[in-house]
Formats: sequence, C-alpha cells, structure tokens
Amino acid sequence: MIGARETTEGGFFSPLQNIISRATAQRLSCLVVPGPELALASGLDLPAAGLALAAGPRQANVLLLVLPLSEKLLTAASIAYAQMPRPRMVLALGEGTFSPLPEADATGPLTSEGLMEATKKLRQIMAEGIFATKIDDYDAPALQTRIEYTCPMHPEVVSDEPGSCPKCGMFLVPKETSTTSDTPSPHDHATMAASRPAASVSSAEFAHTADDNVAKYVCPMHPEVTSDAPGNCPKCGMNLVKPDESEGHGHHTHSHSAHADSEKTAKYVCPMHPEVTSNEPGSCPKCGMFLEEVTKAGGEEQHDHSSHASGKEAAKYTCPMHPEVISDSPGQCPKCGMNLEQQTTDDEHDGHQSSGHDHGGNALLDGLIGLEPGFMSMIEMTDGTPRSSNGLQMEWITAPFGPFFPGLPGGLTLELELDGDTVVEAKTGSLTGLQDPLKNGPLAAADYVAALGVQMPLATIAYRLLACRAIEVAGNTFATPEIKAIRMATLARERIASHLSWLSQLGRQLGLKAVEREAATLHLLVHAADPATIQALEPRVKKLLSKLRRTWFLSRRLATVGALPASAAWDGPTSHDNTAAGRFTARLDEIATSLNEIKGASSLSAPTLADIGTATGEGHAEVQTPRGLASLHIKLESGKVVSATLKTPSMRHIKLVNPLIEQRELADALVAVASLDLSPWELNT
Amino acid sequence: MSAVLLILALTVGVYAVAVLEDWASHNRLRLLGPVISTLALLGQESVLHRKNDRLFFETAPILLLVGALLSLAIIPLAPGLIVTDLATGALFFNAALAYVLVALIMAGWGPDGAYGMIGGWRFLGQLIAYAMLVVMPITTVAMRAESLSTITIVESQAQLWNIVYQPLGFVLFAIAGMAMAFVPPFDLPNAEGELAGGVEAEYTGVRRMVFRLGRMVLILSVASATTVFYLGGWLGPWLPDWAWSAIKILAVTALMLAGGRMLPRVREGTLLAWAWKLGIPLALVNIFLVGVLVLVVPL
Repeated sequence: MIGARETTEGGFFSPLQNIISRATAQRLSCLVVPGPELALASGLDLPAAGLALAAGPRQANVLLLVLPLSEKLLTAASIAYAQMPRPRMVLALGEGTFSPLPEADATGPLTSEGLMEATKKLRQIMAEGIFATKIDDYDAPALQTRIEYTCPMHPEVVSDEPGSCPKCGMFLVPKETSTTSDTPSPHDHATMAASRPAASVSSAEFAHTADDNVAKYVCPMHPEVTSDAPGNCPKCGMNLVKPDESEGHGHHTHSHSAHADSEKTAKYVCPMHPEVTSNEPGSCPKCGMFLEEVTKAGGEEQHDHSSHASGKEAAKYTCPMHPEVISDSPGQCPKCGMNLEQQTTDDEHDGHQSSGHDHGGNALLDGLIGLEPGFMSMIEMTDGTPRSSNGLQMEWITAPFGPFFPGLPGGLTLELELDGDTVVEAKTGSLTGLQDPLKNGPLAAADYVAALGVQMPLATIAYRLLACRAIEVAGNTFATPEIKAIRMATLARERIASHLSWLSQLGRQLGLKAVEREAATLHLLVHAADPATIQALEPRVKKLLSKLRRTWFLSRRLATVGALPASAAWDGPTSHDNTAAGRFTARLDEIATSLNEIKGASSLSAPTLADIGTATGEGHAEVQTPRGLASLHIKLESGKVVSATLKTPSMRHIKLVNPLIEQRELADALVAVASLDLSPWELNT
Repeated sequence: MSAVLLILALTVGVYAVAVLEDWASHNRLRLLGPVISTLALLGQESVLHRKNDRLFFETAPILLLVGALLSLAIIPLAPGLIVTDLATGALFFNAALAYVLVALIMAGWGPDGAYGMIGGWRFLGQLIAYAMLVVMPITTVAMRAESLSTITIVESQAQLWNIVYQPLGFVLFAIAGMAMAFVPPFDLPNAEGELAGGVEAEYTGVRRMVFRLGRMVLILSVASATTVFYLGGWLGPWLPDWAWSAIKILAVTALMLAGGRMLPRVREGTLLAWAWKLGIPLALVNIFLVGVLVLVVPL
C-alpha cells in the first residue's frame, strides 16, 4: 500500500494494528476529483459502494479520480493528496493519465460496477494492513519549495546561498519560493492555494521596485496607488501627492534633521509629512490627515542627536539601521552586517534614504506622547492595510473556495478576499474547461458531435443536440418530427437529472442531508432511464419536490440572496423574482414540466447526426441547456467541420458572480454562487 | 460506588449520543459504528499543520472535552447520583459551557487556516447571544424551585413538569442549547458546505477523535440539562429513577439531532437577530409570566 503509515517491525501494538486496519477499511471517506456531481453524471453510486463524501482533503482517506482530468485539476489533486493524512489511497476510474499523483491502488472502468469492484479491492488492501515499515514520501511538485536568500532592502538581490548583499552589505535572509513557477502568476497562486485552507494574509506590498517614477501622483499610505492626475486614493481616500513633494515617499523616509527642526518649535506635526508643522491642531494640507501632537519624548530624541553630535569627534562610523552602533573605524554592523557609514559633520543621516519603511514607521512614532520604546501602534500595524466599507481597518484574508469545495461545482475556483466574513472581492476561474475539439484540424461531422459531447460531461445530451442541429442547418438536412420529439424528450430527461444533481449539491451546502441523499439517488435512477422507468419514478420525484417546497425557512433563506437585476445577462431557469429562491423554484418547476414532456415519448436516446453527406455551408443553432441558452455557429466544408464558435451559458453567468457577492456575508455569497449553477466545463480556462 | 456508576453512565451516554448522531446524519442505525470510527481515527495520522500555533491547536480539543465534562458535573441522574450538588448548580452549567467558546476559538486560530478562523469567530457571536438565552430561562426555573441546586429543581417539578408550567422557557432553552452545542441547523462553526469543516477542518487522527468526543459530551450535557430543568429529571412512575433519566435524555438527544436535519443551516445574521431581537424579549416576558404564576399558582 503506497500511502501507508510508518511503523516498526513486529511492534508491541501489531495485534491492535490489525484491528485498526480492518476498522479503517470500513470507514472510507473520499474526496472526488473533480467533484461529486461528475461522479453522479458518470453514474457512480458512492453510498452504495460505501464511500462517504469528505468535507476536505484532511478528512479523506481515498482520492477518487474521475478520469480523464485536465492538467490543472491533476495539479490541484496532487496538492489535495499531499494534504490527506495517512493512510491514504488513490482510486482511479476511467481512462487517462494522472501524473503527478502516485500510482493508483485500485483502478476500474467508469461505471458503477467498476466502482464497486475497485472499492472492494481498496478494502482488501486496507484490511491487510495500513501500516508499513517502509513508506515512500510524497511531495506534490506544485508544493515543492526551495530556500533562496534575498536582501531585505534590495529584493532584486537573490542568491542560492547565504551571504551579504553586494549593494548594502546586509546579511541575506532566507525566503521560501516555489520551484515550479519562476514567475508567480495569480492563477498559479490559486492552484497552489487550492483546497489548502491556509490563510494568506494580504497586506499591501510596499512598492520597493516601483522606481520608474512614471506616476505623477501617489497615495502617501498606499505606494501602489498611482495616478496621472491629482485626486483621492481609492483605498483610504487620502489626497494623492506628488512624489517629489513627499521626499523619498517610496520608502516612507523621514529625514531626521527635518524632524528635529520641527520638534524645536512646532507642537503638531503630520505623521506622514514631518515638514508640515503647526502650533495648532488641524489637518495636513498635503494629505488631509490629522496632525499629531509632538512630545517631550521628541526632546529626548533631540537630546540623543546632540549627544551624537558631541560624540562625533570620537565616533565617525555608524550603522544606517542601528544608530546606536558607533565605531571609530569603518566596518560592519554587529547587528545586521551592513557596512557602517561615515557620519557627516552636520549630522545628516544620509543612510536613511535606504532605511526603508520599517524605520519610517518608527520615526513616525518617535515624537508621540508617552510612547514607550517598542510600543506597537495601531497606526503602524494597520499602515497600508485596506479599509472596509464600514471604515474599520482589518487584515483581509484571501481564501480559496474550490476547486474541491463541498457545495460548489468541482473544478470551479473561487478565491474570495474576505474582510472578516464579508466578501470584498472574488476571483473565479475553472481548472478544467473548454478545449477546442478542432485544435488538431477539421473533424468529420459525426466525430465533432461526439467530441463536443465528451467535452461537456455535465450536459452531454444538450451539447450533442446543439452540434447536431448546427451541422444539420449547415448541411441543409432536417431531422424528422419523430427524431425531433425523441431529442426533446431526451433533453428533458437530462434537464431533470441536471437539476436533481444541483439539488443534491444545494442539500450538501445547506446541511440538508436527506435532500442531498434522495436527490442523488433519484439522479442515478433517472439519468439513463427509459420513459417507463421515469414514469414509475414520477411519484418519488414529486414527493421530493413537494418536500423541498415545504421545507421550513428554505425559501426564506434563499430569498435574500443572489438577486439579479432585470438587466442581468441571465438566461437560466428563472421565475418572476430572480433571486436564489426564484431560481430554486424555477428548477423545481422545470423538473415537473420536464416529467410531463417525457410522458408521450416512445424511447429516449442520445442525439445522433442525420446523414449530411459531403455538404458545405454554415449553420447556427441554439439549445436551451439545463444551465441556459447555448449557441453554436459552425462552418462545414465537404462534410467536415472546419470552424466552430461556441457560446455557453456559464461563460455569461460567471460574470455575474462578483456583483452578486460583493459585500455579502460568506455563507450568502456561497449560496449565491451555487444558485447560478455554473459548469466549469463550459468555461474558458 | 456512585463514582463508578457515574463513569459508567457517562460512557454509555456518550456512546448512545454517537450512535444517534450517526443515525441522524446517515439515516442508518449502526450500533458498532462509534467503535469502528474510533479505531479508524486511531489509525489515522494526526497531522500537525505547518504554520500552527501549537499550544492552541493541541489544547482546544482537550479544553472542549473538559468544558463539556464540567457542565455534566451538576446533572443528577437519580437522587444521590450526581457528581456534585452545588448550591449554584444551575448557573455553573452555563459557566462551564463558556469554555466551549474558548476551545472553539483556539481550534480555529491554532492551525492558521481561514476556514477554521472564520468558524471560531462565528461561534463567538453565536455563543454570546445564546448564552443569554440559556441563563434567562434557567432564572425562571430557579424562581419556581427557589433554589439553584439542580436536585431541588427536579424535586420542584414533582407536581407538574416545567415544560408544562413554563413552555415558553422550554422552547427558548431548547433552541439556545442546540445553538450552544452547535448541532444542525446551528452548526455554523463547523459547517461542511460553508467552511469545509470550519474549526474541525484541520484536525485529523487522535486529535480529531478527542474533538469529536468533546462534541458528543457537549450534546449529552445539553440534553441532560434540558431533561433536568424542564422534563422532571428522574421523576416518573414504575421504572427506576436512573431509567427515567436515561430515557428522557436520549429522547431529547434524538429529537435535537433529527429535528435539526430537517432545516437548512441558519444564516449568521438571522441567527443573531433571532437571539437579540426575538429571543431576549421573549425570555423577559417569560420571566414576568413565571413570576406572576409563581405568586398566583404556587405548584
């Protein structure tokens, strides 16, 4: 067993370990990649196989791969696997490769029987022993890091070994970086953080490298905010200033001499602009901040200066970072290793230009009343952090909700910037997604229909039908009314199945276990059934629908969430009010009407293309998929598809995510996203 | 002797709660379920998160267990079968449960994960609001018994159980108790669909086992308190005292766990609005009504 736990040979506990192994084999909890809805669409009955759904990788001991999977999904899956506690196993169903994951403990075809067989094998392996004397380490390539050394003052100085900075002589500090991507793009970050619940605290980065000075106006608090015209900072509302006005703004440096001068006379000073001084309280004319009172402590500071000055005959060299380090001869600071700099006679601390924002923060505090050394100031701590709409300044956290998040479609990434538990901003994406079936050249029409169906595992029928219709229009062939009727009835069956899958996901999201179970079971029974079977299942489906309509608080819970304006580009299921509750009832209604549509049908089958021969032409078709209107424009040349333009509902609907969830509470935001029923397979990666 | 009996009762009680919890979420009654789950968790690696706060991470599950156990100390199963009959027993119940809050915040903070942290802070708001709704109905129970001792409270219900004498208080206490034990639909701190497990998300292996054990004891404790304060504790005909206690406690547990599964998880905002805007005024009305009743119909 590859993911076994380590143990010693013939230990005292080995009889107990045997019992534990057999118990573990009874408690299989799986993380489905990409998600449970794809397992459902493939007809996998997880509860029947005794597999529970894990809330996250930490609670799983089986990684169930529904192949084939995109490279990005496999990368995310490898991270999830690395997070799973031992003993852990990989179960791969279907055809396809899955590196960088380790070899699968069990494989099988992508059918319910295949799942049963493979799970049985997993249980056997586990029961034989989840402990091994020798285990293999697994490192997800995406998580591999290496230590590099960088100068705290000059981030552009990077070295593989510890040493000193060639520019300033400071000791280089170790820093962890990813080995896989040299240029970290936001997307890689999303993948890296996928399913890893580590809070990455976002603090505004100080723009050390923004030396190119193209911007004319800049925010004194947020150096990354730059503008060509004067105005206010969008983050904190301060007046933007010209960089040359605030001397050395990029480093928040404050010349000590200016500080000292102001302390002699002025009682109030701007925390950002020490040259702005006043005898009365008020606001800074440059940035609008309140002036702060200057203290006697400042006098002591000044006293220090004079002592510096008086000792300057003896002390000629000092550290730019640690003014208390004074030496007679040039050399290096014993504290930080920087080269000592010669003190000029007029006591100008030239070194401060390179002293960076850290020191700027301290200088800012040097003059405040009653501050003890080492006092942590709120001003300093929240310096540069963004401000919430309610005016509170907090640390925002960025957390990934996907690609394997319970209650959201698997493969969809949703990275939320959270202020407390309020969503500030969302970044959405898909780790799987549209691949042009024509990327290897023109395809025969029938092959194109099949390829498009495989591309869309969550709505195969609808997209096959779309391709068929578009090609038939292009080939000027038309299906007979009987075939049309069968197609519509099959589409209705897929709509029922799709909505049932969505209901199961909603049940999981809201903690309605019974709904989650029953909707999933019904999906498995309906999704490939013939009309007679569906007829027989109708009472059971109707019972679920009426139970959902009667569930206390459910409609009310959904009604306050996800309201779309009438102008929104929404063409999915909707009723008179386009809230999450409206879409929920609309889906329930669609299930009921689709059941009626199937009633008259003689048989149901996936749409196949009528014979178009070697036709040439162009065709356009639209199909109301379970998620909304999809359209396809196709160009046919002698029976082969040469170009195709596909527009899917999820492409339009994903743009609605941000306006729907901004400034909403986290739980509401997740319900709102789920109510859109996005399919990551319909999105561009 | 009574110490042995109490430990036995606790073990059986926690096991029964675990079976009921499994039944409520999987719809199957598996009598050996908790044993197998415990063994499986023992076999699982107990992962220590990379950027953890070790002290908080390790302490939280134990503190949850200890807090819940402490709150059980004032529950009488029969006359004389009680850990300690404190003169302030009814208030001690609420005081002990305050540690649950601390434990959950520590569990959320410890592993340095967003899900856990949000879960912990969510519970802060939840517990502060509902701790009020636990204390205020307890006040009326004590008003009738004219004592805070839990034994006296049970004896005061000899003629009429409090569920009949003060039904409003019962409803408030039951809901608040469920919120304190964060059972569905109040499982905001460890919601699966919203926080992928929240405060529990990063716990695996033995630590997770302790955490879940603490949770079971907490549920048992809330159910026992409901029984003692409102359902007449051990009082009942024919059967021995301890049997009545056991039956009532397990029935309350089953109702609590199964009933919650029928409702969608409550929104954080709604949950707090219910407590502060609706629950507390009602609890004040309850205090007034019971005050009048105690004066007019002293039963």
